[in-house]
Amino acid sequence: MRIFTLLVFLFLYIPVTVIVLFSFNEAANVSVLTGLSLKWYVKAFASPLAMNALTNSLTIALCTAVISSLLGSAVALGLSGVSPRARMIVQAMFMIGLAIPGIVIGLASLVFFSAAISGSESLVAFLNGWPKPVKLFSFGKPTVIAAHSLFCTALVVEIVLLRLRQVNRGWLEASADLYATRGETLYRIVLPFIAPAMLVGALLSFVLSFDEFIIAFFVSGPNPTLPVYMFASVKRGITPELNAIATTVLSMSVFVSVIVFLVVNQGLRRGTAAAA
Amino acid sequence: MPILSTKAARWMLLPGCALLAITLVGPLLTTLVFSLGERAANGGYQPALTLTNFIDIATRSSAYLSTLKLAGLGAAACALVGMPVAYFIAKRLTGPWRFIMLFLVVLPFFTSFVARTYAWYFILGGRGLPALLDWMGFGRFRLLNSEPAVFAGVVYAYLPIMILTLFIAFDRVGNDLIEASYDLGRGRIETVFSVVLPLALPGIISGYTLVFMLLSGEYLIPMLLGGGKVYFIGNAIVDLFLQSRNWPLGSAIAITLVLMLTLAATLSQIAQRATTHADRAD
Repeated sequence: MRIFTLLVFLFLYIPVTVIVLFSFNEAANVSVLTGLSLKWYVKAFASPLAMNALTNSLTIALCTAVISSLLGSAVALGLSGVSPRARMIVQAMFMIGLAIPGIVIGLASLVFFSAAISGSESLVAFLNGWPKPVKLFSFGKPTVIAAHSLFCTALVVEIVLLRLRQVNRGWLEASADLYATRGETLYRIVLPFIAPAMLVGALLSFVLSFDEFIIAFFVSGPNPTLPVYMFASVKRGITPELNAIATTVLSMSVFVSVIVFLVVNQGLRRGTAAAA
Repeated sequence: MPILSTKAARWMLLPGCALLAITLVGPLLTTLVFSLGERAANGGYQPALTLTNFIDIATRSSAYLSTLKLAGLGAAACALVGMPVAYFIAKRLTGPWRFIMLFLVVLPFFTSFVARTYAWYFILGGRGLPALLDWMGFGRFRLLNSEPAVFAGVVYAYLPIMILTLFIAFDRVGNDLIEASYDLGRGRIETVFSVVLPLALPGIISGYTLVFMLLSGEYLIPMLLGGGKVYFIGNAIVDLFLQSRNWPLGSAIAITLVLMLTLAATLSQIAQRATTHADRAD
């Protein structure tokens, strides 16, 4: 079983390693290793199209992480104070948002946003008496951020709910006994306690949004994210620059994932220490 | 004492509900309306009330068959490969190694999906493995743009998430039961088949369903590794939306995909309930 596990690990890691190796390869021919070189990184980072896609992806991932972490935590907190029926409905809606395939969310967002764009433009033009519709917003970063925020918020809701379940009722009562208002208890007891969960949720949202392909493929319009740009480039043919971009993307995701791992690991350890 | 008053709680839910309205409810309702409409002359949508799109789905039946076949087989292969690994991590490892190994398994799932699929495109492409095999004297093979290539790609992509769910399933099987089985004279392999697998079966079914559902919505892997020869429902949807611009038919296909997955999830729930041993439910 040990050997089988090792083989599976090789299966999981060899393809990625090949990409990383070849990204440092000197030769322009992508099938032989000749020597170490960083020139493909220099070339990739000098390409305006690739850089534009990278900044798009970073902006989108950052906005999605902040929005999802705040909205998701607010929802998780709010769920504890409403009727069980309302709680069930809202939670079920977010689960649906998480369960529906990305391709359906992508195309549904495309049709909805395009209807919303043309509808709102005509409406504004009509109300103002303008002869022609005006561009209010178009497909690009805002639409991708909105669509990504759905499944990321759903994820944050689940993570923060897990943490909220560990909140000791006694703490809240003790705080109230000491004449703290609900707001003070929330700010000084509950929020610091759920902060690690909010951070993990934000980091996971960042990684998932940064790597997400199919939804961005539908709603990014003329302004591609990095995965969409990579997909378009692969179809044009494999180049060493592509290996360099893929390696950059891989190392960024690995970096953030390792931080998540360390935060969770720390939290687990503290949790066991408190229980002991 | 609840953390928030009912009034404050409602305010806290408001932004989340607004998000649901503009990114889930609105889009899905629009898709439903579009699926009943007609294709405009130059592509897109034209208001109408017809079911012809749902009848026209029959013209894409091969996409459905190929999705069902590869998602079904792919999820099965992930489960078969994943089970020994998940069992090893859950039951043979102890201490920090369990967590570290689990992290290493899940890590690929959180790293660029496009980059990982591209890695297979690179390896199976003309200058990768085929060139190596040729050099070793096995002759020239074409690996890319075939069903086996897509199969390898989907197993590679979804194995991590399968191992994670199977780990949770095996981890729940109490060590006391395994010990008891050893004490009663059963061997290791016998214990796995007569104690561990039956108790972990609901978890295995749920892992299979999860991967099956993720695979059914796949577009990128068949596109890159199948090169148009392997055609999933996702590929049909993308073609209809971005190439032939038949939005109503694309919407209808998307709705059947959601219905298909709902059916799969319901069947899976029934199967999980039927295989759960009530006395050991924790």
